[in-house]
Amino acid sequence: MTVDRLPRWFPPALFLAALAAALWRIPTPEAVNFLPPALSADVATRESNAAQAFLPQAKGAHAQASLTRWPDGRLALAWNGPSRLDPAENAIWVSTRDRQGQWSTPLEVATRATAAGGSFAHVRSISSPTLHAEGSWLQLWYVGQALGEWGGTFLYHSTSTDAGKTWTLARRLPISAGSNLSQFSLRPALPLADGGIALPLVRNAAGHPERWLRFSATGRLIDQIEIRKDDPLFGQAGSRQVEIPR
Amino acid sequence: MNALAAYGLVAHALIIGALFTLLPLGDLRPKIALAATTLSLLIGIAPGLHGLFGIPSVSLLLLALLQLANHTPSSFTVRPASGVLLFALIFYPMAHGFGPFDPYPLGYQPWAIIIALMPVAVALWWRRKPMGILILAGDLAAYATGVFPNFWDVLIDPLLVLLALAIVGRHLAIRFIASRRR
Repeated sequence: MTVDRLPRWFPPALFLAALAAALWRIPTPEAVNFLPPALSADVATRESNAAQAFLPQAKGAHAQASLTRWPDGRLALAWNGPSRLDPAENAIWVSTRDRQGQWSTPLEVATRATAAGGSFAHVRSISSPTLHAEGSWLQLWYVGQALGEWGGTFLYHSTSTDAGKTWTLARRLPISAGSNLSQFSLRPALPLADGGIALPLVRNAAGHPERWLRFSATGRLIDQIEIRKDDPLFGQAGSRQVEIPR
Repeated sequence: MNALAAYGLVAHALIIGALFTLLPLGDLRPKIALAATTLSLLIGIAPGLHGLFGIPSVSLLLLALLQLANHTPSSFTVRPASGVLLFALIFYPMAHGFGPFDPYPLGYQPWAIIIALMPVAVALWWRRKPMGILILAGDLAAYATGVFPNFWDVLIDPLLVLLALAIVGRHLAIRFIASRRR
């Protein structure tokens, strides 16, 4: 390499050009405004009960399930369950309910293998799905672990544009410097007034305040903001977690 | 295909190839580096590292490419390695919850970080370190592509810190042994 033979002005000129391009790329989001809940408490409870009544048919479902609602009243539910190919492994299953109240046959939408295939990285297990209906689309986030219980935890994201029938390849989202050393869990997502999504994330380790991830209307992760304890919007329903009946 | 995932996998493979060029292999050096890069993809070392550490920084990838291209003397000497190490000693504990605030979210809208790179670039230019400026330019250009949501992931990563630790550790060990022989 002959870097020393370059004119002395060339590296700073290149640096300034790259600097200008990088500054242009920085997202400039609007002030945070959460959308008010579109659902009355009555309807939310009724729908949660319907999901709870359906879940026992979803064999092997464990931990919590995530329920979300399209604007036209259809529901979508995601939960952890044993993988179809290897029951010892965890997979994420999704079922949707039409306006007549019929649940679709559960579909395995994410496995350890699909998460690894989408991220080109080793994944040991996946869990904790959170589902969010946005327009006619479904957004799914879940947690993937490379090492097991003690680290290497990453957040994965996948989208369906056809009511949960097909899903994009899993994308791993950068939410921590290097690998996450602690476990984390997801809470129901909330829509933002600018078309973006807020996804609360709780790290199960001391020293980490609760945060939420801010996604732009185009789906780009643009911020990570501390959750204020006095923020009333986080107590309201966007999509919901459903306890699986024992 | 997810560009960030593809970048992470290929970058890890190239970094492993660059590591093998450090071995005293003589004329076999480029062939071994190529074989190591390929094998790391085939036998799962690169996906394993990608799974464990996340994406490598563009800074580390550029250093690996310089090493693969046999660029001598190395741009990552004891002084920049000490700087990286010192920065990492503050940054990583804070980013993992051991400090008054987490600097990692600053990287999603990195105005302050990018502006802070300007005096660094001026200092590098003043000290006639063109490769340092080119690496920073490469980092900024990579961020400008929009593939990386967080600028910290472009700038620094745990493997770069391990490399810096190895360089500083080796330097200190040589100085220690030399002082014992005097």
